[in-house]
Amino acid sequence: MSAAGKSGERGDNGATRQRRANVRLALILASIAAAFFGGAIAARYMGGLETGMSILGFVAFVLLIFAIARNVRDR
Amino acid sequence: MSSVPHDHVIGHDDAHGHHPTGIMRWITTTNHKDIGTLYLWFSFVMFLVGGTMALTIRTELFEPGLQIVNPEFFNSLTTLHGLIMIFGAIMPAAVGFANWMIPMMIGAPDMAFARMNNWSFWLLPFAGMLLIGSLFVPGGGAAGGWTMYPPLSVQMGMGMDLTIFAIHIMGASSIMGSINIITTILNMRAPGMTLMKMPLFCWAWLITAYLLIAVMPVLAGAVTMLLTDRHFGTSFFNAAGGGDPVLFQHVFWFFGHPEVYILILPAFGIISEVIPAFSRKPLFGYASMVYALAAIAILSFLVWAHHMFTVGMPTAGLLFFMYATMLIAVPTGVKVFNWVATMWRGAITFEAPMLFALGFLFLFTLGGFTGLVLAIVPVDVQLQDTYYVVAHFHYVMVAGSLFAFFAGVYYWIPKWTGTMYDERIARVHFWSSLIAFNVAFFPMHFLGLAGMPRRIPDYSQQFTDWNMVSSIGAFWFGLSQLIFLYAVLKCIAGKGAKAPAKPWEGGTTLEWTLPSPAPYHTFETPPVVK
Repeated sequence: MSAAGKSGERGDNGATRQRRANVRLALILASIAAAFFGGAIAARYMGGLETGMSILGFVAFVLLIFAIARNVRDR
Repeated sequence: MSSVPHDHVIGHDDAHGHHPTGIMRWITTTNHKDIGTLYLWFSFVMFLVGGTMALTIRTELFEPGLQIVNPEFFNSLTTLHGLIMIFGAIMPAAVGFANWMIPMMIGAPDMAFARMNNWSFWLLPFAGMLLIGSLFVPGGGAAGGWTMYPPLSVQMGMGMDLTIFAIHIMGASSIMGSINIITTILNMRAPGMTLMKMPLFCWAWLITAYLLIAVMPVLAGAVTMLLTDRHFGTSFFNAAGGGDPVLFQHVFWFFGHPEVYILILPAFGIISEVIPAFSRKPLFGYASMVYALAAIAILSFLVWAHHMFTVGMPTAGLLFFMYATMLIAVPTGVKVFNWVATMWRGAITFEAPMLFALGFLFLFTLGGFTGLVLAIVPVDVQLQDTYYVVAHFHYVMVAGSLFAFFAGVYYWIPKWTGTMYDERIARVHFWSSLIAFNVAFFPMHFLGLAGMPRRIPDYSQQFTDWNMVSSIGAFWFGLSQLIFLYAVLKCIAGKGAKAPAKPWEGGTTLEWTLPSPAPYHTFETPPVVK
């Protein structure tokens, strides 16, 4: 892998845009963590453990797809 | 990927390096290199604490009968040894590597959330103090094993509460660290650094961070329910109130098995950097290595119940978890074969990082094979909770993660300190560790096959000989790590040859384009990767 001599730009606009993107992604990831934390406890009240885990897994999967797809689209 | 000429150094001067000095530098730092250093030192201190507990355990087990500790304290030692080594030593060490290396490898100036990075680290010492402090409260430390199974964990004293809080804190730290790592990798790569051009170490950590975000909250949920069972009258796991203790095992291992991969995937990443560098060849099958990492991570969510084959599951469940567990051998095999293929016809040299990588390769594979043995339900029923299991996971965790981390330290310490490590001392460290490790842990296979249960302070006479051998090996292994400490301190003190920007001919990743030691601020203007 080589780093060429020319450099990219990280101007003010770019920095703000990147910061917003960082916060957005962090919130998505934090929401996955929150869903798993609450879900692990809530699953006990929802009857079958399998049902709770399936719902949680689906939610996390959708969020992951969303996060990854957004990233892929940006490139 | 093309190689970088030796003298091609792109770096920054330290003109922006105005930062506090002394202790305030370390408390207030938001610099990824400082925080990486803090993580690595914290993990080493916890490694020594957990190691001291292990040596106390091995002293007690040197011969049959009760020698130096009472059984309750022995149980606390086995519990805290596990928790400290996993949450205090291996995980923070991996995060330390991530902090130091990921920004430099992807051409980012720092981690995405620098202040949160500081907070992630500084939560850890308090969690560590809670864990160790639990030994000194009335009733003693948590003593139900690192898995904290009810009913023991519901019935214990205050030490269990401290352990639960410590786990909450360490979990929060891990989740924040993971968010930081994912955001940094996805949003802050240098122009031209596509995902499929990223160093394997970054890929390994990206996948590990996703695993952490998915499973640490589950552990937090499990111990929260444990806490409410203990103090707020709920009965999630308390059979006396209609709860289900086996439910805890399900929830715990839904976290616990991916956790095994959380501990080993960063090690895979390090090995995937070291082996190509010292074979002077590109990594064989880069794309398949990435897909294998992802496959291992996904499969890790589907195998949790192989830790609990003896709880009484339906046959269909036993079969599913047995075959799913065996399936993990496929992507793991892909990785092992690719590492071997990378070395094939390479111009290999055997400096300390490569020695540790080879040690990892042989011993981790051995641990993987015993894992396959344990995946077979009828065999596992016989070997459940015996020393065979202890041998298996120490081959994976110590010869796997720890050896890879030693490889990583020797590989990157010239970049961190600007000084080459002493090759002779490092080789003594490797050979001493390799032999001592096998003396300590290989006999545990025999003990387990002969039926010696784990987590007991006393045992039958027929297990004496191998226990003595194992204890001697454990002390030898522990003392060997003082050699490592000496080698590292010598580098930090600058006593050694000055490290060039690129000390390893085969190093091709971006960090080798920076001077050694790496400047305090790097890649403020991103490089463009071709």
